[in-house]
Amino acid sequence: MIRIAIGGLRKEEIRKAVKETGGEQVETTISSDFEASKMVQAGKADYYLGACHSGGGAALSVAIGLLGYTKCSTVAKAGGRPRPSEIERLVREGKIAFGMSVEAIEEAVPMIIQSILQSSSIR
Amino acid sequence: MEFSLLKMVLVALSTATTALLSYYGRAVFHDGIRPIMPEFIEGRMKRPELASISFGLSVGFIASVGIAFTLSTQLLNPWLLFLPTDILGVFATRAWLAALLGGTWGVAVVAGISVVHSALTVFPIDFIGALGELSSPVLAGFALFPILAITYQFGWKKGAFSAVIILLVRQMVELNWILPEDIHLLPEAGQLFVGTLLLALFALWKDRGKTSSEKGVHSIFEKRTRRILQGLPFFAVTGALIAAMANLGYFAGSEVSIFTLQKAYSAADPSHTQALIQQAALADFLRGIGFVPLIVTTALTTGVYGVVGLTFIFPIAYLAPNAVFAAIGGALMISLEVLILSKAGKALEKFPSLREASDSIRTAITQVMEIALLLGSTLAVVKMGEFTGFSIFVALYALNEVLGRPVVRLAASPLAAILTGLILNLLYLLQLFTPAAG
Repeated sequence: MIRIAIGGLRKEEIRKAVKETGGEQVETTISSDFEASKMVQAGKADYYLGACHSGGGAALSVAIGLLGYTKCSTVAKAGGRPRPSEIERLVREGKIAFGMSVEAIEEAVPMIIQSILQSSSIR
Repeated sequence: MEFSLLKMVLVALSTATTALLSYYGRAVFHDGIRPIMPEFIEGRMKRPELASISFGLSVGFIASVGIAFTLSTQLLNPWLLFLPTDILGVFATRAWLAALLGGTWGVAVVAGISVVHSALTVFPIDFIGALGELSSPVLAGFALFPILAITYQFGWKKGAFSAVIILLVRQMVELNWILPEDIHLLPEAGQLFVGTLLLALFALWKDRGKTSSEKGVHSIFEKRTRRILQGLPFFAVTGALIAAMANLGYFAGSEVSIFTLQKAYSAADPSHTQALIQQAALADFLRGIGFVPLIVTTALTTGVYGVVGLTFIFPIAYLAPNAVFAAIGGALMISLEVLILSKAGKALEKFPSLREASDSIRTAITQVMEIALLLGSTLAVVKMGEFTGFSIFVALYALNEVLGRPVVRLAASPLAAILTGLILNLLYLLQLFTPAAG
């Protein structure tokens, strides 16, 4: 079971996308960016997902502050599109918090969840 | 947009100052660059890398929201001015270079926009005038954000209850039932006031009796809070400059006020102007509340502040009687914000639902603004070129959606409307299109 904590904007949309991809293999918690990041920090969740307009502001800034810059990555910036290969690499590198622009939620979330599920089944 | 020396000097001073703040790692506008700043300040990241990250996070915003909003309203906006100075400031290797680059950007924007605007006025089909249609849907749409935010956070029952109350308030203000005759209040102002009040009450009610469980984040905050306090004089200067610009009608603080202010400055009736300015101030004040938790938390965890503070300088600037008072008010406000920063951080931990409310507020604001701007732009293109304009607009908007939204939704509609105007003019020149009203 992969536990996902969700913060930032349009959290419901993210949760829906997480559930559609991960089904029974994922568990989601919706909270504020602050609480959700603290959950990951405390080991109560495995990954953090967040969205905002640029993909790096409200989505990720508090997570970076609490978890450290090296643990976080923006996977889709405003005006850009997420790339599956890039996301796979980031998950393999051990990133645990992902930010994306609100425009990219539908596209990026399934990629992130698939990569996470793959990497966890290999382990 | 008339050209004035005062405007150019004020804008250049403000962009030079914000570039310096970014150079020294004291404050940036972009909330996403703030948390990366400590990597640079503490030596784990070099300037070129940080500059390229800043550029990547901001370029989409500058090119879409920054340009579209200023072209359609003739008012400068923070995305256009201060996102670039974030980048220039971290890019510059010397302080004087940061100030020079920042100042040059300010001059370039003012000069560039006034050239573009005088070029646009010679077009046979007046599409810049038609873009005035954007303001009414934005005004009415924005006033509905509390209903959305409440539904988002507390479910549909409280949402529906609030919707009914807010609609009733709207009609009572509209029909002048609850206010004395001589007070001019827009119905939207009443809606916003009641809506936000309900949202805050629901949040506090949910948190009653709860105390924060986790502690221990404060200690790392202390050192970084001191760093922000040291920067106070510089923030005060920046606040004064930005407030003066906003007061003089050169600059609008955000997407929720810019269209209303533009309408206010072009309204013929002074009392109408006043009511619209008050509405813009209220809108930016409420939007500011939505941003407080984000800015406070990122500032406290990183020691890097925002160049416009918690954004409460905007309402003060619009309402001030003249630029001097605005500057003083802006400086005082931004200083006050800095002084209460750590207290605000602690209060936010006590009331997690208020913190969540800020996410709901920002989600709701974008959603209503996207709808309002889409419908407003539709009205504008129909005014420009009836259903010829409409078909061009819909084609452009749909294209952006299909291509995976290279232009963010917030800017897609105004930008598509501007392009529609240009295309209509081209068709007119080719004698392929005749406007209905001559």
